[in-house]
Amino acid sequence: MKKIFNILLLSVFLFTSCETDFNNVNQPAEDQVLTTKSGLITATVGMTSHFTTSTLSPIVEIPALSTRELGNLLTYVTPQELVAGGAGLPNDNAGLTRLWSRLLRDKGAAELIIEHVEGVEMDPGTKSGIKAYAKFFKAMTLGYLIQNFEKVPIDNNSEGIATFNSRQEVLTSCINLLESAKADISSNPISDEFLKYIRGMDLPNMINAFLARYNLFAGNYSAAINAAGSVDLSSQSVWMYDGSTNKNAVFVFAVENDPDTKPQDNFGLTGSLIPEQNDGRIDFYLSPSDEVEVPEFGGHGVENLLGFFDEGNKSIPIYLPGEMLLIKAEAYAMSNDLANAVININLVRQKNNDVFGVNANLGAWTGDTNSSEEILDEIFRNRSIELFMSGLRLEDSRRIHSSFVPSQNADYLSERNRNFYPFPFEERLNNPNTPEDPSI
Amino acid sequence: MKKNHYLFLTLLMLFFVQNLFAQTITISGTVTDESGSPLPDVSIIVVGEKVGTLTDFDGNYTLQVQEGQKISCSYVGMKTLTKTVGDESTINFILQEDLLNLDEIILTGTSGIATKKQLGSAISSLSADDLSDTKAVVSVGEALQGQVSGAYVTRNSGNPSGGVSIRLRGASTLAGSSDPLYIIDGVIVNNQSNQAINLGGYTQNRLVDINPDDIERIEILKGAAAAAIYGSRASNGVIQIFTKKGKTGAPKITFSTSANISKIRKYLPYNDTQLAWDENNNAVPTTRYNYQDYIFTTATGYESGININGGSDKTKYAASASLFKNEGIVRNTDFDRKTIRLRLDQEVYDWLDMSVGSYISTNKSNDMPNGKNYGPITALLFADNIHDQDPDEFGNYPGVGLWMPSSRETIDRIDASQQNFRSISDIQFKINPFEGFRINYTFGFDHSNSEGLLYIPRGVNTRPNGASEKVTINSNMYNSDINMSYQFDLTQKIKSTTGFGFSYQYQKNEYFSVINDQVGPIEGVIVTDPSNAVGGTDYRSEVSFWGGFLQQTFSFNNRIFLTLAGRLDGASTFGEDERQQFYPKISASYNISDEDFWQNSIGNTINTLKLRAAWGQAGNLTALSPYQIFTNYNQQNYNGNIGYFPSTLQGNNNLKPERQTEFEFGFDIAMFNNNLSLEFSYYNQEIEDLLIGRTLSPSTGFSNRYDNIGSMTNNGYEILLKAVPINGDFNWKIVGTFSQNKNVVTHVEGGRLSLGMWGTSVAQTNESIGSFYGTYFARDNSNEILLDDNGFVQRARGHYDETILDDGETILVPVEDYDSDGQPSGTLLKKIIGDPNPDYVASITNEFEYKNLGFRFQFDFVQGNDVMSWDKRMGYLFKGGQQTAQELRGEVPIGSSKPNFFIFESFIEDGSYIKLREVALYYNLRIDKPYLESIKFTASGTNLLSFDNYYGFDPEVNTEGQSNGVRGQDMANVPIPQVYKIGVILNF
Repeated sequence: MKKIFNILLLSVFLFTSCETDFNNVNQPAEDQVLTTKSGLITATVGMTSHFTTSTLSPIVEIPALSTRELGNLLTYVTPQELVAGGAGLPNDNAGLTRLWSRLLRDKGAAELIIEHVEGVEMDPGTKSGIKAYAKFFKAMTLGYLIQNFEKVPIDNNSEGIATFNSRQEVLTSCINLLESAKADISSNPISDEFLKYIRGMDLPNMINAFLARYNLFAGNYSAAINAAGSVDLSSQSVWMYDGSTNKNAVFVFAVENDPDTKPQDNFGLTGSLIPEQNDGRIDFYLSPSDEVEVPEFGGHGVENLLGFFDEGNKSIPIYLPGEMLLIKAEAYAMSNDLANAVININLVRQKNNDVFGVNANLGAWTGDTNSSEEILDEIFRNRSIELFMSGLRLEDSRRIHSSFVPSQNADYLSERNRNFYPFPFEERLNNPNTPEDPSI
Repeated sequence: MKKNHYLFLTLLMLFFVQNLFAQTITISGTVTDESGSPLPDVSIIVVGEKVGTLTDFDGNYTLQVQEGQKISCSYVGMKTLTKTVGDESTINFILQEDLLNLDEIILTGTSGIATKKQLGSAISSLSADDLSDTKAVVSVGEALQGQVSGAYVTRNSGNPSGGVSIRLRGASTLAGSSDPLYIIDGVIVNNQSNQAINLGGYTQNRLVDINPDDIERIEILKGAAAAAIYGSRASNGVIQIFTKKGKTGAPKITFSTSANISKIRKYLPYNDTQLAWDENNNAVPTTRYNYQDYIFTTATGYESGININGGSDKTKYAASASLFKNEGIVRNTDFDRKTIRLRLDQEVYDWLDMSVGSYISTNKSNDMPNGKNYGPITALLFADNIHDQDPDEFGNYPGVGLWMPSSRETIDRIDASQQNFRSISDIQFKINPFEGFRINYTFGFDHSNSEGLLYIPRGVNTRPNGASEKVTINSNMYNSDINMSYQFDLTQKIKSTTGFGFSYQYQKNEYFSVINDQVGPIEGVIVTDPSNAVGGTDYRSEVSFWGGFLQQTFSFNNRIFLTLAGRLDGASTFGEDERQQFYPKISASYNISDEDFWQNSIGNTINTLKLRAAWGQAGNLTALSPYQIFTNYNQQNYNGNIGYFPSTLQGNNNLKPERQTEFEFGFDIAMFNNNLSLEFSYYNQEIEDLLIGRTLSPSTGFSNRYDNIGSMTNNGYEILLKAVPINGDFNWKIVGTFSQNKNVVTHVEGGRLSLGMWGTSVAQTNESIGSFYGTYFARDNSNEILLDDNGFVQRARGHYDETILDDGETILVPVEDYDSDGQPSGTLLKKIIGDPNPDYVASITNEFEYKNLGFRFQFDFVQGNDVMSWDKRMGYLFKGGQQTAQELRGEVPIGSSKPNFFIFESFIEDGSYIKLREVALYYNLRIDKPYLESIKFTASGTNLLSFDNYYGFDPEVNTEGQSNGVRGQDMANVPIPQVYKIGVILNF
């Protein structure tokens, strides 16, 4: 049959050319992108672009709704379910799906780059740059996932049967990835060629900053202190936006077009945690407004958001120098070195030369320097203010106020209404390895 | 002649030798039908020779023949009669009507030439006579309505260029299109339903570019078993159209012209009560408007065409030109088409014929957006009709409190149009190198260019900055087909026909658009300025299909026919390993009435009986769009650098084409002096490896991937009945079709798949494709609707139980729960609440002729289907609806309508209808002068009456146009108009 077929094929070739394969001129396919140097560079740029415009929004927005950073002004289903929290938060909440699937897409893109870059010939400094940046990216996306979900697959699986790893495994993996990235660029410094594609970023400092962050989360306090200490506090690393095709990811949901979610009064802090009146960071982040939430959602007052978010083309810091001081403070506090903890708290409170302008400009802390509980509360208050709308509040609240158990019922008032989120529906439907949902 | 023999002798040196010594004589005669009326244009050919002639207007012919030769006389719709030439000089023929047409030559799906008699599968063929020349139709699709058994033809909307959907033996795919493959004169043509600009289901079929008057014949293959030649793309069936060809003789000119008026048949129920609620819920007087008075208008149209054909023995030509202009019943819509066609047939040598055709068509439609998006009818559904929509003295249009402009403002101010240019050309060679061996080669080329424009001027309510958009779609297709057949006698009784061939098809599409979200204040300057564009698309794709076949037919005694065939097909859209597919086929037919024992016994009563059966497979290589096997990266820029990021669709290089296996059997029977015929077929189709864009776990890094993870079946039967109860001066003819198809989705991974329309059209295991899914009424034990404390209807509540289906999939099945008061409790429940697929469709046409006066009428029946009427739904909530009127008048309690809005079952309507599709009266005036042969006067009415219980405009509706899975949904769709038409046809 085949032979006859070929004869026939030939006979018609006489009349027309019979092309049977066509290139996609609209989009490159995976193997075109990942097998050349220039393709891999565009893949890192695409990853950055997708993260900054699509992924960063839910990273900030979703936990902000569960931890009172954001108030809810309308009755859209997605934010409504999140500000209510409790056991009733359904696993098909569109916000959760966004958070979960976009982070996993970015992580998958980073994994593909890491997998393919070794086999492509290029300048060692370009290779180390691509490699280190992709490893940083994978660590960062894994980190944002584990801040919100109890278990996470360290590696994506294209067949849909990814296995999930424990929190400790994930954090260890994040730290290993960052250490490995650090090693890559210390043996081969990033080439000028690749630096053009990560403008606005200081990769060595970013790696150290995130090492500090994940070592703190993992309870490796001395490693956290070391890493935080090696970050140059005058260095800036930011996600950039042009304001038109790429708009500031927080601006689009919390500022632009009179949105349905806005920052709560006092950064969402209550009682003894309410910011001191003359805290310079209040005016940095918020502008007063008389608007109030719908009573059934708690009736909190809301303010208008400033800071890094009030214009579509403002850059968003990848990490803030203040976080390094607060990581040190917490790590010292957790290592029972309360004196050093207070020193670092005061460095934050008295800061007036922040490279990003996040200056509290307060006096030294007047609380009980012998009470680790009070110290940790002060750290939590300062993290909540200093690192406002950076997607860290749920993690911070769960870590520092770990004894608080969120209610099974809808809760619009407590500091957090979930510990971890349920695994999104699409994952449960298609992946047999999806773990049990956390009870809260 | 000499050259002929010379060539043959050179090639083979042994054919027709005895003819050289035969004596040439001239014979003449008359051809009449059974009533004695002369038949013009009957072809008389010498069997086995290329010599022939046609009868003149009085049925007379003259022909040079040799003694002992056979001459055969054939005419469409008549039984072919063959006589042997003796020494007489006059041979008359009296032709018998042949309702079954078993001698008719069929080209589609065969490897060369086959008569209908030989085929094991059902084939429908329609001649120009079967297609009414009185009916008001814009496209071929409409012309087929009611004419073909096994076909469900629906006109999707009443737009003047409105699209038509044809399902031959049911749907056959979920991801692709179930519309058949269209071939015009051997050219595989583009029948895409692209919306240049999304105006809400406003899709044309590209078949609208063809003037139905140019058609001489249509052949329709319905399933996989029939499709040896078009295997790879034939799982939806094949419709092959043959345009008119030239005939030997003096030029014949036909000129036709007609004018028509279209009107809306029925208004949508609306709020005609001159009351409104005040703030205390008291009904107070107000003025209410019927917006439909402005939206709909009485539309006019006209059509004229000229057709010339003629030729010598060796050169024949047919040429035509036509003009068609028709206004839509929605104000400011119309469709305007011009066509020019030429076909030239040339005998190059005795052994080589060439045919060249060219078809050029240009058309333009002025459209109105409608459907789900926005537009005059959409605004009608949502607006409270207490607003006067007329502009003020400065030309400012009032808003009507909606997110879209009012019906009137849309009609007056928004310009949307589509312009199409179409050119189809072909060249064909028929080569007959020696007796029994034929080669046909066709190269066909189809180019279409569509340009869509949208212009919303500044100051339109809700779009203060205006907007403009331009879209161009370019499609280029060509096909190159070679088919060969060799026929020889194995023994005296057994004949063998071997066919083989190869086809290559290529298609290139280009889509380009520019969008502006503001326009300047000078109306009339409407171009879409690319330098200020806010959006746009540039997308280009190429596809090719190829395939080869081998087919062997044995005929025993010219009564029993057995055919075996195999095809190998491929498509560029699939991965290397799976793209080549083999499709086998086997069929048999037995013309039992040709046996002596039959003729000697019941042959006088049952004149003809043919039994047939066929089994075959065909693929659907078109379900996948180009490049879907790859994981493609989308451009995503950052900080001035170009970046690429994986799209949400994961590539799958292992996809297989969908495969359909069909078994069919049936019989063709003619009785009572051939005055009654019946064609019956039963079929059973199993479609496997359906391509479905399944969802993925996000931990893959993707959202969707195509997989071969579905299957479905179609089975049913189809009947074509023709009868001539009275034959003579007064002639009564009946044509009836009946089709029943049952579609069942037998497997969908995940149990259920949304097909669109906000998840209300679904494919669910064990249900029919496109079944409706949604919330439903809470009912009590005795299945009566359970009212809430207010006495209002309410949605069913409860919980879902997991149930494992036959195919192993787990699906959630709703279980109603009730609280202690007997009221529904738990979560809101959804289930399958309707089915858009009819139980059966049927049609009956009666035609009466007395001498030159004729009268015909056609009824179409569609029964047992549901329609989801979103038009009705909106009335439950929005105050312009009839339901608010009922509340205002106190006929139903205040507030009792609104709960229905949330119960999808409340707007599932019975879509069954019986339509008076056509009534026509015509008179054929014979002039019989050299300058004019005859004049035919026609008067007809189309879509005059519909007997249905449907709430909305018309149950014959598809808001999503030609969408494959979303059927029987009605939202702000333009209804099909009534059309009254008068016409004159002049034969010169």
